[in-house]
This record gives sequence, C-alpha cells and structure tokens, in this order.
Amino acid sequence: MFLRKTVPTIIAGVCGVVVVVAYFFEIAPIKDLASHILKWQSVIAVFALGLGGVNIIRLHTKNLQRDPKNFYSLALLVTFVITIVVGLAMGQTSAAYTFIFDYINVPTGSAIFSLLAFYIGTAAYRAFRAKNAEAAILLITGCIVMLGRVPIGAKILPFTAPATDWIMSVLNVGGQRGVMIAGAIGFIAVSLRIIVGLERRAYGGE
Amino acid sequence: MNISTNVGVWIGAIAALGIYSVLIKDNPFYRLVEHIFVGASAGIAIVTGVQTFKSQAWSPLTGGQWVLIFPMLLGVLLYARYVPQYSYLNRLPLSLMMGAGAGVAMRGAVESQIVGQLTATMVKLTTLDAWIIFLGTLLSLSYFFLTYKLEGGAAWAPRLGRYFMMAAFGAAFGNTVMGRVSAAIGRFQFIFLEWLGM
Amino acid sequence: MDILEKLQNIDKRVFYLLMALAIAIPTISPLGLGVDVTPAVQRTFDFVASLPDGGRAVIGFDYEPGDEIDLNPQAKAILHQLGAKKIKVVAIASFPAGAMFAEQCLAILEEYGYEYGKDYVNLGHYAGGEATLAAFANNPTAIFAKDWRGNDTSSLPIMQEVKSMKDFTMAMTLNDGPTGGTGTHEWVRQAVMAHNVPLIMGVTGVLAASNETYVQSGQCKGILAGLRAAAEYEQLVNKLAEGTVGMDAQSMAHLLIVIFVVLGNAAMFLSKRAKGGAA
Repeated sequence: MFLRKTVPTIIAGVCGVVVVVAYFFEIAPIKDLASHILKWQSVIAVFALGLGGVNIIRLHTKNLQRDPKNFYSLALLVTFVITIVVGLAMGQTSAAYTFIFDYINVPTGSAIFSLLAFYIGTAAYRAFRAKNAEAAILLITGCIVMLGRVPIGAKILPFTAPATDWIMSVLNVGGQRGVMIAGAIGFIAVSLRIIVGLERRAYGGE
Repeated sequence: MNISTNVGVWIGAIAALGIYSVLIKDNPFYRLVEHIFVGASAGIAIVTGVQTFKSQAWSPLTGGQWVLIFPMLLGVLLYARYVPQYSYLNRLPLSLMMGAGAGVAMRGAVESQIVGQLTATMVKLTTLDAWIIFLGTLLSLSYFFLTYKLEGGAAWAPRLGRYFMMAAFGAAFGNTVMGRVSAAIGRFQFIFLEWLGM
Repeated sequence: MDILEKLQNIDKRVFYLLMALAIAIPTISPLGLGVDVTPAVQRTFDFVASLPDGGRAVIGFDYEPGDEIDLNPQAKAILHQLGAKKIKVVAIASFPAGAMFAEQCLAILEEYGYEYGKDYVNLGHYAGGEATLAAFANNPTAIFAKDWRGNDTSSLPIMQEVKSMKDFTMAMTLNDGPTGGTGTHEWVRQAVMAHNVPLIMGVTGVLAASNETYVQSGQCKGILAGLRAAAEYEQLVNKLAEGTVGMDAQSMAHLLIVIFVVLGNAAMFLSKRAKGGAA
C-alpha cells in the first residue's frame, strides 16, 4: 500500500510544488532542487523511449507465435531489427541509416499522412452542408480560407485573400481565444489534481 | 521523361504507390508497406533513444554526476509493468515525471494562456476588430460556463459564442485542408519529378 | 435517383481520381500562378530582419515524417535568412525524426560559410517534452552532453557561449503538434514566458488557426503556416524551392474541394426546393 499509493503521491506532490515554487520565487535551494528534479525526469524519460519498442516486439512476436505465416508481423520485425542494427553498428550519420530514413521511413510516412488529403476532401463534400446557422458559418469561413490560402483564390475571387487574413487574425482569434482560456483552466485544474494527489490514475494509481 | 536510376528513389516511390493503393481498396500490398513503415519508425526511435540515452544520461553519469544513477534506476522501473507482481513499481518513476510535468506546464499556462490572452483582449476598444476579438472571446468563454445553464435573456451569449467558435473551426478546417494537401503534393512531386523525372 | 441526389452522393473514388489529377497535372506542368506575400509572413520576415547580425537562434525541429513537406521548406527558407545575417544556430528536436530533418536542413548554412560546432550545431533529440525543454532552458549542456554527431557539447565553441535560454536572440519551433513531442504552447511557456526570448513559429496548416492568438497577443512574433508560407518566405529570401513549386497543385486541389462543397450544397438546396414545390 505504502509503495503503491503513498510514495507515488508524495513524489508527484513534492516534485510539482518544488517546480512551481522555483518559478515564482528566487529561493536558491528550491531553484537548485527544481533543476535536479527536471534533470531527473529527463533521464527517466529516456528510458520511456524504449517502452514503445518493447510493446511492438511483444505484440508482433505473439502474432507470429499464433500464426507463423503472418507475413506482416514478420516484415515489421525484420525492418525493425535491420534499422536498429544499421543505426547502432554504422551510426546515425552513416549512408545506410540515412538511406532507410530518406527512402523508407519518410516516403511511406508522408504517403500515409497524405491519404488524409483525399479523405478530408470527401469528408468536406459530404459533411459541409449548410443545414443550420452554425454549419453555414463553418462552411463559409472554411471555403473562404481554403481559397484565400492559395494563389488561384486571389485570381478567381480577389476578396478571398484579404478576407482570409481578416478571418485568421480577428474572427478566428475571438473564437480560439475563448477555447484556449477555457482549455487552460481545465488543464491547470488537472495539473493541480495530479500535484495534490487527487488524480493518481495519471501515474497508474487508482 | 528521365526515370531515376537511384534504387532508394525506386523503393520510396513503390512504397508510396503501395500506400495510395488503399484508395482503391484495402489490399495486402498496402498492409505490407504500412507494417514496414511502423517497423522502420520504431527502429529509428530506438536508435535515437540510444543516442539520447548517451547524451542525456550516460555521458553526464560517467562524467562525474554519479547521482544520476538514481533516476536511471527509476527509469528501469518503468519496465516493471511487464512483471505482473512488481508492476506497481512503475508508478514511482511515472509519479516523478507526472508531478514535474504538471508543475512545469501549470506554472507557464497561467501566464501564457490565461493572463497573456486576457491582457491582449482587454485593450482600448477603439477599432471594430478589437471589439470583435473582445466580444468573441467573452461569448465563446460563456459557452464553457458548465456549472450552470445560461437561460432566458442570457441564453444568446453561449449561442453567439458557438457562432464565433464555428468561424474559428471553419478557419482551422481550411488550414487543415492546406496541410493535408501539401503532404500529398510532396509525395506527388517525389513520384513524378524525382522518380519519373517528368 | 435524380441528378440532384446523384450530385449529393458522388462516389468517393471519383473524387479521389479528380484529386489525384488536380495535384498531378500542375506538378508535371506548372501553371505559374505566382504567390503574393501575405502580411503574416512579411511580419515574420521583418522580425527576423530586425534582429542584430551575429546573434544566436535556437530552433526546435518538432515534427515527424508526413509534415516535412510543410516544415522542411520553411526551415530552409528561414535558414537562408539567418545565414545571411550570420546568426548562429542551435538545433534541437523533440521527435526522433526531427534530428534527421535538422541535419538535412542545416546543411544550407554551409553556403554562408558556417562552421559546424562554431556557428551551428545539431544537438539532436531530447526525451521528456516540456519538462526537458525547461531544463534545457536553464542549462543547455546539462541536457545535451553530446551533440547529434557524437561530439562533447562542452568542447564546442558555440555551446560555450550559451549558458541558458536567455543567451538566444530568438527561438523558433517548427511544429506539427504536441503528441509525442514539444508543442507550440510549451514553447511559448518555456521560451517566452519563462525567459523572455522572442519566439516565431513555423507550423503545419492544422495548427495555424489555434496559434494565431499568440501572434495577436504579441507572445509570438510571427507565424508561418504550411507550404504556402514557405513559398512566400522563399520569395522574400529570393531562394525559390519546394514551397513555390507546390503552390499550383495546392491551388487546384483547394479549388476542387470548394467546387465539390458548393456542388453538394447547391444540389441540397435545389432538391429541397423541388420537394417543397412538389408538396
């Protein structure tokens, strides 16, 4: 119970309070302690980088154990191992490692994300219907910005370019700022709950 | 047309075509390329992680900061989650990370996302734009009064706030389209210009 | 199904094909539409231009594959301006891939006679997001004992000049969002609020709207949004490259989406009116 609940709550509380106090007050020992805490968390965070790799290995080796003909999991694990071997043995600045990054990782990653260009277009076509005032506002500002952001918009409908600048710097700021302030208040409330030990789920508690 | 003779360009182009094939129908080629991408990305994350470990932890430790052995031990405890009877031990490093993270974020959020934003809103309202920003902020904030419902004559405030937010989301959508389309442009440039040399 | 209903339910594969053509045709044979510089990009350019020559900039390469088409051209364009002003550059990355992109983009500085370790450095990736950025801001070499190329940072002349975030004349984040890395809010908090270092942002289109509030409040000195901003910046620094080349395709793709949205809405209204008339 002590190690499961009390110690993590104390650690989170002390770390949070020290870091906040060090920011607002010039107290040398507290500032010193806060910089140690931040350094410690950065070291721990490095270890967290490996968790993703462990999860991937566990999941796909299980897949292969269940079905040895699972070609996809095999391809994933082979690519994973080759990348690591090349990166560690030859170095990150080596031609082989750069090759994997430039010609496998970047083209496939970019292509996957660019699928959204196609999906977002059809989504706009199907969902952007001016059925009420809110939808109409969304639709109109969205279309003006889409045209105003590209050279052809200024050629076909010259008002779209200045209208986009105005929407972005005035109308958009009014709406976004309310969302930002409200979001920040919620965010601060959650942070406070973590620090005072009311939100233990954040670090695996219940 | 001057087709590339670079093997890497060929691999990259074929991989991109494999991904785009899903637009016609889900197929094994797409899934294969997708899995290869995940494998390469995870591998790159691990290789970078090792370099980051050397830079952020190992070098300072061997350089004399022996106290760093403690956060390193805490870091190892993150992996306790894979041993069921000791899985609770991973709460120790996580609580330090969450506590420090929450403190760092909270102290700045008050200034940057609340005070800074309100200060920029509470300016001399001498222009129409300043009025629009002021009212937009106030009205869209009223939409988030969740502790009680604004009714009767006051109900127009959250409704108008919703209109402002819709305008902002429309602007965000227009920009999002721009971002996604440019990702596709990058790949098309790669396929047509770099690979096919058109 | 009458024509109005058909227009409201066009097969998505037809749209995909048209979208592919809208991007492919201008990529193969550019239309030469040209790009005008917008006030937002001009403001960013003017801010960098107003910095004293020979200062120091910290740039966060906070993005992954998928967003490099927006952010690499932005990075390269702004590095041309920094290079011309002999501003020293320290690059850091909150995503593993960011360090690789930094290495590619920073090569531009060699055109301006920059020397690695003295005038620019790629410190590589850091783990831990905002809290580590805060630690970096207090003492950069405490977080990066080694740079991306494996050198001891304490031995590099550029790092001997940098004791904290305050030693930078400007900060910039090239950012595609906070998931897994350090977001724009975090940069505002740690660079601007904590250390009063002026910040500019290069963001993907997705993040442009939500970060505009920081520009209006003065917490961010300038923002570059998407490939379009890169194209404009390339004009300002007189180095036309990827950004400019992509603008024709961007135009046609946007136009296609707007046409489809208008078509869908027009068909919906006409269909409603026809049904109303029939009733």
